Amino acid sequence: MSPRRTAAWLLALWLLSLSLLGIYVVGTLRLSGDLRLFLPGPASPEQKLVLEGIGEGPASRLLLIALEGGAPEALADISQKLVDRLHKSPTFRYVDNGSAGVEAIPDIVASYRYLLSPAMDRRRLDAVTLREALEDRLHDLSSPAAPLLERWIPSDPTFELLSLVESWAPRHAPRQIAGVWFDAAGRRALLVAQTAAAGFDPDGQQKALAELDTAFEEARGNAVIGMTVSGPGRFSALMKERTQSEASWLGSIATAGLLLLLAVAYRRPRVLLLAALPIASAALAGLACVSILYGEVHGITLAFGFTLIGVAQDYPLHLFSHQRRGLEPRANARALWPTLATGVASTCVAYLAFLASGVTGLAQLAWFTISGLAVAGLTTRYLLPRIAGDAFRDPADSVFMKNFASRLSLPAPPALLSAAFVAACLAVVILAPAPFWEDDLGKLTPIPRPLLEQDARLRAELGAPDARYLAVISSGNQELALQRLEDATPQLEALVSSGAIKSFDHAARYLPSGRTQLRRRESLPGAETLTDALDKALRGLPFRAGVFDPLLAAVAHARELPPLTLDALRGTPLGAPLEVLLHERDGRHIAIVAFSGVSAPDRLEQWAAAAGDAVTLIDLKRAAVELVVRQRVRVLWSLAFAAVLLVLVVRIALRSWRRATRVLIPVAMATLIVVTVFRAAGQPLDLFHLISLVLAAGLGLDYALFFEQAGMDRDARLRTLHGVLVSALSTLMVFALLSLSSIPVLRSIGITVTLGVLMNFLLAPWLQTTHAATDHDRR
Amino acid sequence: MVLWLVAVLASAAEPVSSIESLLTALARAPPQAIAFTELRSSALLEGELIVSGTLEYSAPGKLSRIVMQPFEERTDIDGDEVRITHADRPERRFSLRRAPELRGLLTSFSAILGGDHAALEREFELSLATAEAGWQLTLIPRSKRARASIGSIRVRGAGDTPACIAIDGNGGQSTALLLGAVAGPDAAGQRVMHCGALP
Repeated sequence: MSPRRTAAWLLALWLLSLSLLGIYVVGTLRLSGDLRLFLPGPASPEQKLVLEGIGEGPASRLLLIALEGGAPEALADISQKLVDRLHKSPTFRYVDNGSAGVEAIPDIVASYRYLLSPAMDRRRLDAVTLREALEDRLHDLSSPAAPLLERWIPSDPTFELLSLVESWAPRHAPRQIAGVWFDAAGRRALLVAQTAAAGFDPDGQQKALAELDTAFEEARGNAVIGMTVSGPGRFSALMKERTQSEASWLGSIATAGLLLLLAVAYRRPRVLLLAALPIASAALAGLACVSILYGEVHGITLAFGFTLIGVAQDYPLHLFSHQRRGLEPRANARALWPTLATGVASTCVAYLAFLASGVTGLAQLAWFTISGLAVAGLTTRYLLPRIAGDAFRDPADSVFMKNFASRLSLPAPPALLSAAFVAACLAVVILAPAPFWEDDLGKLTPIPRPLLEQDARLRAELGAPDARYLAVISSGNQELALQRLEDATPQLEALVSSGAIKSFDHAARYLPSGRTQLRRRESLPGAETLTDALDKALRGLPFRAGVFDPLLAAVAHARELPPLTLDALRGTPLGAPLEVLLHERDGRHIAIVAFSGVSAPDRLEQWAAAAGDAVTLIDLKRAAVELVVRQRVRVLWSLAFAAVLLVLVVRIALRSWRRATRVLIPVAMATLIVVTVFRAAGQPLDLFHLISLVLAAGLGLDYALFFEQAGMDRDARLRTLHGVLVSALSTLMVFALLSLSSIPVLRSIGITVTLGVLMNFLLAPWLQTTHAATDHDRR
Repeated sequence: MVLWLVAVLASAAEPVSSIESLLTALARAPPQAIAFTELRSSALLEGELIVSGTLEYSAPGKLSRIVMQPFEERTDIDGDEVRITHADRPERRFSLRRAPELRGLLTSFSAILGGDHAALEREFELSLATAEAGWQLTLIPRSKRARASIGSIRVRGAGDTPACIAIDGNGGQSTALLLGAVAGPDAAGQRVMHCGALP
């Protein structure tokens, strides 16, 4: 076969395998928005709760909804229509606007009222209690509230169910207008909904939001009313949409720019296709690798992964810049390979460190990068030269390159000045007043600040409990957990009355322990006793005969009931909030005591310390900070380890400490300068800055390695400079575009890498060349 | 404060020809106050519960029902909120939406005193019957929700003075509100005279 035909076959085969890989990836890979993939595994029960809170816990499924822009009555109408419509939807576990009165209480709770009501501890259903209740009911029947209350009287004259429901109402519930929740100003109607989909399932959330929108549009009709939806689910759907739309427009501009750059640099249309092949191979191989290992990929991994293409894209460019007529492309690739391989290996080594970080998102990123770069390197070495041909202009003949090179050749900086500069940078890094690290887990979220602020406002209006303090009571079984909560209640009430906290909430408020339920059941009178007591109580009152037969039946029924359990309440409106407060994990039953208005945390701590081992007081804010610190410590250790490995790889590849130093100094300097800039600007560093710095360092290392390989040969240096220039320009273009993104994470990646690449590009030829020249002269 | 009691003495019993002219004749500017006696029957009770006191209409949508006999109790309706206060019982608050009967009473009361024909027509089907003894305006709620608890509201009176508002519930309960001069002792007797169908 002629070389041309071989090339055509190879190209066809290559394209075919890429399409197959593409089909596989599209078919299997799921996109995830779960931020926990970027956090280390929990080390303490506190951290476990933090992670659950931002993950799949019921709190993460909560959507806060506000309606505004109309008269309160109109808003209330729409609010009610929304609840009525979404009530039966399988997409939502529940929707609440505060309108649900006693009517919404599940029948099972109504039938258990005598076992659930704390009032049953203070009195018995005897003639005295009944007489008092009946007189009150007579009064109620003559009041305007009669139509509301009348239906409850025959079966529940002591209003056990009504007072039970009243005691369950949130203590800081929003105000009500026209029967539904409103904000304090009375301008916005408020609702809460819990989705069936987890908070970080962007597709499920998108579906729920679409359904909510449709319901709202129908309820709204022609009225000019606005709806605001907030909550983790809304954020994950929003971030997915935004990431997709930004990625697509940034991607289109970057692609167009890249094509233009390649056309100008190489003036051969086929270069465009040739350059794309290793990149596409890298991207698809990376995705396939993550798909096989994890089945899902985090959006941030994907964003980072694709920026990494910036590295892979350099490999064919170096090959092209060194290609010229008469040079066999395979010989060219063979000559460049040691340098290219060192670049690939050192970058892979840096990412290898992320595998050990214990952070799933970073491990995904590492696999993506390592497999992608390896494939890009290997295809550039073994496949690309066979189809590339040798019809390239030699950049060494380019007048532009000669001029450019002469401008770049600056004298070596005096050692003293270099030292002073490094010292100044270090001084800024160490002494700048801004915090060095970002410890706030909240800042790690890619959600724009105004949306977070809006979320916080809605949460406050809806009277959601303090997110900060929680007590956790861990027990071997549900009954024990409920008993412990009941035992703690008197002390908690003392904390409320002493003003240390405003209120508390726990599962036993809704579901008393079996012990308590049985005690109340035992206190219920038998049929005969109750009939006698009722007859006595009714004497002289105008109630018709037989009106209270339903009461007799209800009490007789209650005396037969086994204690109510959480299982029986699942799926009822009471079940969803209860599951937040009491759930089973790893065989332990975890009960949560939520606090509102904590003004004396120390008194809370005293209580927790006195309550024994089973009770743990959790400061979620502190736990979150600890989690971030832990994550950072792990990542920093990984990076330190990676740096050592990287130095070793470069040293082994170049077989000389002197040469290795020449390559590593510009990279180290560039990284130092970028960190200095951030410190001077008062920007605390977070995980994304660190990853970006590694990426920029990887690119810089490649630049320095290629200059090192070119040695002092003038033409070789010009070709290398050309390759590095095209590489750096294309990378700069992509990341400068990224720094325009509205998504904070993408923006910080963009800015960091842009700065890093710029520094590396300026320093690599200068420092490396001048040091090489000095060495050359000495020899 | 203009009492209907005064009005009834001052007005000659002119025949009323149309709903429009009746409403014009009944219209009064707030604030207004009027004595009332309420008779309420319930499926749960033998006989009727009778309370009396004053109704105060201070602005559109604002009505207070102050009971003085046989106990003291105050109900304030402001916009959508109903608040019942009583000396030795906890305050009760609820939304007017949950009490269609009360809402019907308030709407009819407000619209009649305000002479707001359009508002009345929006919420109720109206029909007017007249006889020598006076007139009877019947209001049947248009909304399904209100109809579930209210059968009809009948306002009876003579000249420009209403004497009775009778609300027939759908659950066996009914309420009759005797107003102004006819409020007071012998409520049962007065009801027969002023709240029944027009002779």
